[in-house]
Parts: sequence; C-alpha cells; structure tokens
Amino acid sequence: MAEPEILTIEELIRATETMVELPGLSKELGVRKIRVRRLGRTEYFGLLPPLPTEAEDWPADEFQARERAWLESIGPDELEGRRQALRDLDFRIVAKASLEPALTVDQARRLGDDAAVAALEILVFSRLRKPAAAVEATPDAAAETPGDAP
Amino acid sequence: MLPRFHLPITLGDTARSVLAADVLTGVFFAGFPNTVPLTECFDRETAQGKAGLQAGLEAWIDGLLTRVVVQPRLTLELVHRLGDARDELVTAYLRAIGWADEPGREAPTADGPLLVPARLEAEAVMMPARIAMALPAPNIRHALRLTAKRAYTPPHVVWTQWFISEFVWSWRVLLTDALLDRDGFHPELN
Repeated sequence: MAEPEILTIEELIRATETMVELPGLSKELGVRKIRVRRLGRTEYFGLLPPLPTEAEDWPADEFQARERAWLESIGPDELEGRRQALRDLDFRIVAKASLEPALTVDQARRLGDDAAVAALEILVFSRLRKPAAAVEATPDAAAETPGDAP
Repeated sequence: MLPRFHLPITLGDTARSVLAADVLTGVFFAGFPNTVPLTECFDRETAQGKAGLQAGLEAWIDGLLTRVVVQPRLTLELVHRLGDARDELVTAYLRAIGWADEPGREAPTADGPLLVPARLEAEAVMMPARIAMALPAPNIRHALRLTAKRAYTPPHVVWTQWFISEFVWSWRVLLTDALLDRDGFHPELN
C-alpha cells in the first residue's frame, strides 16, 4: 500500500497558522489582525499554575468542588502566586503564539481586553478549548476542557 | 537497525506521513524522566514529584520528535504546532521500534523512499557529545546495566552503539520473561 505523501514544512506552517482580529483596535483603527500559530499542549500547560496530580482523577462533575476545596487548603503565598499567573495567562498565550507582529508579554498587555479575545481564539484554534457555542451546548464540557481546569 | 520508515500524520482532514529513523539508544532516552505514569515507581511519588515527571515526559516526547523525524526536520516550535498529531506520531514511532504493541495494528512500514545508505549511516551513528556523556536517570541506568550484563557488553556500548529497536528487542529477549516470571529468580534483577 502506498504511503501518504510526506508532509512538507510549508504545509505544516499553512495548517497551523491563522489570523485573529483584535476587536478593540479594529474599532479605533479599522480592521486589525495578528497572525498566530497553534500552541502545543506542553506549551499551554507550562503556562498554567499546576494543579495537584490527583486532579487527573477528579470526576468531571466534581471537578469544581474538588478544586475549590484544594485551593482553600493551600497557603496565602501560593494562592497569590496562582492568581498572578492566571492574571498574566492571556498575555503570555498571545506572546507565545503571535508571529506577526511577534509580541512580548509586555506588548501583549497593551492590547488590553483584545488580549483576552485573542487568547481565547488561539486556544480554540489550538484545540485546547472548545468554541464558546460548543461549551454552552454541553454544560459539562467546561469541566472536561483542559483550558478551563485552572 | 531499522530502515527509515513512514509515520502517519493527520493535519485537519489531510493524511500525510513523515519519515522517521531508528536512533541510538542514548539519543532516544536523552531527557527521559526517571519514571512514567502507570508504573509502581510513579505511584510512590509525591504530588509535586508526579507533576514534575509528567512535565518531563511531555518535554521528552517533544524533544524525541525533533530527533527521530528526518523528513521534514522538525524544530521544537514545529512540534508544538502539531497539536493532537504529535501524539499520533509518537505512538506510531514507539510501535515501529517495538516499544509499544497495539494489537490489530501493523507497525509503520519501510517501503518509502529511503535515503541513500551512505548518508543514512553517517547520520544515524552521530551522537552529540552532550548526549553521549550525560548520565541518564537512575531507572534507565538500571535498565542499561541489566541489559549490558546479560549481553556481556559494557553499558556505554549499549548507550552509544545500539539502536533503540535493538535495545528494545534485546530487552524483551534477555529480560522480560525473567522479570515477568516471579518464580524464575534472577539475582541480577533484584
């Protein structure tokens, strides 16, 4: 049986990049977009503050309650560290995925609310989050989606 | 040593393949964590230890694909772009070298456009000094010692001269039966 054609770098790049519109900037300046690439699971999970390993075994319907209980059990410093990491998450996602222009974390902060929109689109494009419509259609999906875990 | 072989990959709806190589044992295990999920050693770790090992395993998978896929050559960033296809590739690779069995599925084949032998051999036996000289994690060192002892060869020969398919095959032939056979006691397996 013949093997499928060998993948080329050009194909890989084409399939893993997209344009994301920045609605806030677009209102002020006319349509403005950034070119972004797909993020890998390792990259994304590396940005998240870690949950305890046993969280993998938490059933989806108990996930939020178990997570809340676990968060209440950790110290204030660790809690503040987690909050800070989550506050920065959108900016770090945009900085990691942006190609044109390639943005630093500080430059991504300047996008303000646009950074949250762009980060969500990047995660959906990377299949790390389900599109908003799909999440609404299946209430349990949020607990099952890695992007919602923290 | 296996000839180069195709690994299937799906990007969107498009079926493609990449060409992969059997690599030296040290190249394969570079950066491999001391233990992995679904093992007794892993279960004994603390929550923090487990998280670190899991992250180490994910990073090793990313790095492995940069080392074993020869066409197209993948950088770490390109591996990150693969998304779910990354897991598809690494599973197929582990099946091809005999590490993982998947009943009912054939291992990837080698009937593709192979490179000319001279180039193939020159590339295949190159091992960066940082890998050749780095000591692997304790459990991998233990596995190397056992295999080398049974094969009457020094461990560094296994690390720097055996291909990973040869290591896996030899491990199975020399050691797996003994490890599984609790009554068949072998002092060196303790």
